[in-house]
Amino acid sequence: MLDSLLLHRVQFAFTASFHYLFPQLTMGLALLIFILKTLGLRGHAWADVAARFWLKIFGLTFVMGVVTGIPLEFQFGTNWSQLVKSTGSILGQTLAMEGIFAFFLESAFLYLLIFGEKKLSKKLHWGVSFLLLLGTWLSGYFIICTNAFLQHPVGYRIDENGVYHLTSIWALLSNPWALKQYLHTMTGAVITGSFTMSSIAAYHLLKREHVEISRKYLKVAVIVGFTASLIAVMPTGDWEAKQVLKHQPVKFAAMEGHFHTEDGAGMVLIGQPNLDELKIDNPIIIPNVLSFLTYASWNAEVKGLTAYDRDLWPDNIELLYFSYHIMAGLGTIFIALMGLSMVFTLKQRLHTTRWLLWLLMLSLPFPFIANTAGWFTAEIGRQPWLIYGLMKTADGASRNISEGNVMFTLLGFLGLYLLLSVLYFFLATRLIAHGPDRLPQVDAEIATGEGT
Amino acid sequence: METLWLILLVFMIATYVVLDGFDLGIGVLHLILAKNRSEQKQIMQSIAPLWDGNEVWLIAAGGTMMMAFPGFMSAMFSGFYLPLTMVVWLLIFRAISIELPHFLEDSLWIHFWNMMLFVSSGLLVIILGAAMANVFRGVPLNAEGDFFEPLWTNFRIGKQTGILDWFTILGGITSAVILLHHGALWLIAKTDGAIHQRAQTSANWLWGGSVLLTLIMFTACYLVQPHAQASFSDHPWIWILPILACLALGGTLLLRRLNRPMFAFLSSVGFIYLFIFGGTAALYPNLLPGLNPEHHLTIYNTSPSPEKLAVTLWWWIPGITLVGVYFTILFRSLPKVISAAATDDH
Repeated sequence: MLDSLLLHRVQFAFTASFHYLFPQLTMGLALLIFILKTLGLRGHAWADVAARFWLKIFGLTFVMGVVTGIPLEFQFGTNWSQLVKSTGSILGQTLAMEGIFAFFLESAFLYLLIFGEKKLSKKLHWGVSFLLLLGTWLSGYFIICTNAFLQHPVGYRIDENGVYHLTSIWALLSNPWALKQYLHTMTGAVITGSFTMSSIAAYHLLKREHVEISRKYLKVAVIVGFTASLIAVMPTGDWEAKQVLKHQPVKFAAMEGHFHTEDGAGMVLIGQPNLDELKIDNPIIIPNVLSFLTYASWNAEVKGLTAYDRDLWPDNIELLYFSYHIMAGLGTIFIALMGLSMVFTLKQRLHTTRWLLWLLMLSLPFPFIANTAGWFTAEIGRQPWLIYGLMKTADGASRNISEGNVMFTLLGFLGLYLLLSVLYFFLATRLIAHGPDRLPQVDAEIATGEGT
Repeated sequence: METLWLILLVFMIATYVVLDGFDLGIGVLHLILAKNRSEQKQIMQSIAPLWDGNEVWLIAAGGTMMMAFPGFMSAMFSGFYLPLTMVVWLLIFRAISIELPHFLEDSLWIHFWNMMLFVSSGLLVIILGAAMANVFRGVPLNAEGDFFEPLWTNFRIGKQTGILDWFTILGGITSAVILLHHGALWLIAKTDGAIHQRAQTSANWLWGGSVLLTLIMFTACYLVQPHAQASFSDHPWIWILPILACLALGGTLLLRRLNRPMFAFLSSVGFIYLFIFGGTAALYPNLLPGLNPEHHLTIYNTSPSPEKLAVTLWWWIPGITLVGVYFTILFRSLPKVISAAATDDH
């Protein structure tokens, strides 16, 4: 039983993490494409050309997001049937809303955005790009609401049979946990979108291809990327950390690698958690900073893991600790890199500063890693609870499926997703190598020598 | 209230079958009907903008099922663990078979994806019917409302059911023929030239097959599920549904002869709705019959508080109305008829 539970968990974790690589890019790109379309509407012809190029990459990524998203809804029923049996009437609300309010919007308008440029007026086409942005971001909100119920259940009542009943749909949708987590997750998605965009622009600039257009949209990507990197830490990251501290203190202690309760607690920057001796090996710790960041007082008491019953500790503290530190560390690097790029943009030298372009180009995978690590932190940290404080993970899994059957489907997903990755990389690199179309011959801005 | 949600849920599932039904049918037919690349493109263009939106009905129906009848979803999805996971794999394959070919103009690449589309669509139309037949026939539910079925046992109906037996295989073949016919009707309405002609010819054959298999399937359904016999004798008005379904199926041929291809397609839409609602009415109030009648999962024992279901209607009805608007915009934005010559635009 235990092993079959582990397989259920691994399968869901794998399919969900793989899936999220795509929507984080499409949600971020939807915003950037909307910005480009807005610039295009104001007469910048290059922005329309850039939007068309990015829409191609958006389209390919969107397909991958759609196909890898389908299994997740199924898996609630197939692998987590006990969870569905008791809480389906609550979780189903947000999932049904996602389908009805978000997916239909996206599927109907993506086609119009990709193929409608010639048929629709400029303004209408811009409007469609807004609807697509709305669809993708709404979809994210409903999913975060679903997750927020598991992290911080609100608006429910449990009857004598252990079945959960919704008492307020409003409470479910305005869950304070969801609002904060949504802002943090979406800034993460915008970071992915803008880093991807600046990485591809840097690639073209380094190869001295599509120079005019690449330097223009690189500027857009850097401004958006810098803003999002800042917001990801302050205030959204800070809000998120404080809400974890308030509602899930065990997760907080574990992700910080904070074992023992102490006054004036230091923040662990680097080091490996040692669970046998309950300490951090090879530590670099900044004294008093954890107390200050959590309670705004240098000498405040911060509870450590040992203050809590060991049964309530997450079952994989090491992975949780590293996930959190990878996310936070990369977040800091993002601010530094985008900040530097901002400075060079303001000096109008970014497109000729080759070492910085190299850094931007090579940074492509890191936002994906940071976002995945963020999800690992949220989800592994919630263990051993499936619904925090109410239902253990072991009680939510399907009971009637043998280990062999779960192993079989897990291997199937592994193989299938390997194939999808190969196809995606193959096609995406072809699109990138082809690059954006040539700019229209008479480009008003180039003609007048305007723009950077 | 539970009955209303049953109707809404079945409406969503049937809408999925009606919409994805034609693009799945075309997924099979395209390999048979198209003789060259431009005909291929002509066929694919009749479904390319639509398949994704069509498939969203499945996702939205899944969410609605979880919300309104969580006990049913829990039992069904875990009980049909293997076939449902395989359905997911097939859906993935089919989606990429539609979306990826046009990224690369290479004959081998395109041929590979066409084959994949044929295989995955073909298996899906069969599985869709087999799944419905499984639900109709009933499964070995235990007292907790759980079951687990192997893919097959001895292909007979009895105590040791498998997912595949003669009845569910019959269901799969019936659904395949009906949806291929449905897809052919869409092609007749949306294309011209050689594809239009070939779709007419195949629709003739498929129509005959649909009539024959529908009659066999109705009879088999009546014989296999004792609850259905009781329903039909206790509430004779239910007979209206299968009778109207047969008339709608006849209507598809008549309207095609009268040269009203879009109405013929809509008649097929009506036929599928009536077929599915007929089956639902025969099972009512059961959602998933057990082999032991005491363990039937009904709309009452799988659904939480009815008063909450009433509140949910406040967002559900405006939501579905909005979806209707999107679909109207989308379907109207498409060209009325797709010619083989015009396919190089995209």
